[in-house]
Amino acid sequence: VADELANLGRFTEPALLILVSLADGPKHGYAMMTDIQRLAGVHLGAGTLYAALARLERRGLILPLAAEERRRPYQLTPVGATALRAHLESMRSFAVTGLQRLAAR
Amino acid sequence: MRWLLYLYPRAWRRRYGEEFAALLERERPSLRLSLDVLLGALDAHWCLHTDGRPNRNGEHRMAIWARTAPLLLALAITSVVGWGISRPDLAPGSPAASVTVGQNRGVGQAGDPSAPPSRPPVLLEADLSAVPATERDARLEQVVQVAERRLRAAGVSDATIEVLDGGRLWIALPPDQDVASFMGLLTTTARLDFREQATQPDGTTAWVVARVRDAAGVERPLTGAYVHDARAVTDPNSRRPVVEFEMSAEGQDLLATLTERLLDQQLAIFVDDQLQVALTVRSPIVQGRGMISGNFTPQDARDLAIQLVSGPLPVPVQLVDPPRS
Repeated sequence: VADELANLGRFTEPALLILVSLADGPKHGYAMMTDIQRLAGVHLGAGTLYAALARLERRGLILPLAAEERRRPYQLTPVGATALRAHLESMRSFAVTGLQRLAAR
Repeated sequence: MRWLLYLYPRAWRRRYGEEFAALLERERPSLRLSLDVLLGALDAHWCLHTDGRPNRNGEHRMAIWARTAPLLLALAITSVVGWGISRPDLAPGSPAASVTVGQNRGVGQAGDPSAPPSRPPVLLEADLSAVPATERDARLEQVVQVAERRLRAAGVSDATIEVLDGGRLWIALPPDQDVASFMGLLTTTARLDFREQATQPDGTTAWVVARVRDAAGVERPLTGAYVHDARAVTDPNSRRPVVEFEMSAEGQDLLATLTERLLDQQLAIFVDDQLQVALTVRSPIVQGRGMISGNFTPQDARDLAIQLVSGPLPVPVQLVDPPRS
C-alpha cells in the first residue's frame, strides 16, 4: 500500500495532524485547530487547514458530515484510518531506528 | 476577516464558504492569517480548482493567471510589507514555490470539477496491478469512459468523475440520485461472451468462448463487443425482467455461422464468467437477437442492459468506501 499521506507534498504534515485529530472522533474546523495546537503545539492557519481538508476529502480519507449550524464536522473514513495507521507505523520504525543509532554512540 | 473568503473561487465558496467563514470569525485577525488564507486561495485556484491544467470548461492557464493576478500581486505586497513589520520567520517562502501543481485532473462531461458534491462522493478503485505501469493512465482513462457511458445511459448526465492518485476515481452524483443504486452499475465488469462446450484434454467438457471465422477468414471470439443494443424488458411469458439484445451486422454474421456449426448442440451466454443462459441450438440464429433471462430484479436487468451497450470495464473496479448519506 502506497503511503497516501506522503503523496500530499507540502500538505503531508497538516494532513497528518488532521487525521490524528480526527482519530478519536469527528471534529469541525475550529475543534481540529485547538486540538492540534494542544496535541502538537502547531497552529494551522485556516487556509492551510482547508487546503489539506479538501485534499483529504477528495482522496476519501475523511468524510464531511452534516453541518451543525454553520460548522461542519469531518470524520475519519476506514480508508483514512488505514492510511494513518500505515503512516504512523512507518514513523515509529523510523523513530526506533534513530533512537537505536543514538543509543549505540 | 470574512472578506478573505472572496479570494477563493466561487465553486470552492459554494462548498466550503459557510464553514470556512465560521472558522475565520473565531480567528484573531493577523497578517499571518491573511497570508495563510491568501496562499490557501491561490492553492484553490491553481491546484484544487483546475489542477493546473485546462479544466473541462476549456479554461486554460492564461485565464487562471488572469483571475489570480490580483491575488499574486496582493501576496507580493503582503509579503514585502510583512517582511518589514513581522518577524522574518513568519513570512512564507516565495509564492512560486508554494504553488504546487496537483496531479489530479478533471475529466467527464458537464459540471464544474470542483463543484461541491452535496453528498459524499463515491470513491472507486481500479485494480491496475496486472497492468504495466506505462499503460495505467490509458487504462484508467478507459475506465472513466466506460463509467461515463454507463452513467449517461442510466440517465445521469451531470455526474462529475475525476481521476485521483492510485487508480482511484472520485464520482459525484447529482443530489437527486440514489447513490446505492449505482454501485452495481459502476463496479460490475460485465464482460459478455458466447460459449460452446468443448472436450478438455482430461476428457471432461467445459464451456469455452466460441471462436468464429469472419468473412475475411480471421477467427474471432464472439463477445459482447458485437452487441450493439440492449434493453431491459419484461418477458411476456414469465413476467420477469429480462435483457433483450441485438448484435451488430458483423456480430449477426458471426452468430449465424456459429449456430450453423452448433446445430443440436449447446450454446451459452456468460457474463463475467457466470452462466446466464444455455440453450440447445435448434436452428441457426440469423437475426442476431437474443434474450438473457437470469434471476434478475428490474434493476439488475437495467444495469446489465446498460453495461452491455456501454462495454465492459477494462480492469476490475471496486468500491473503496461505502457511501453514507
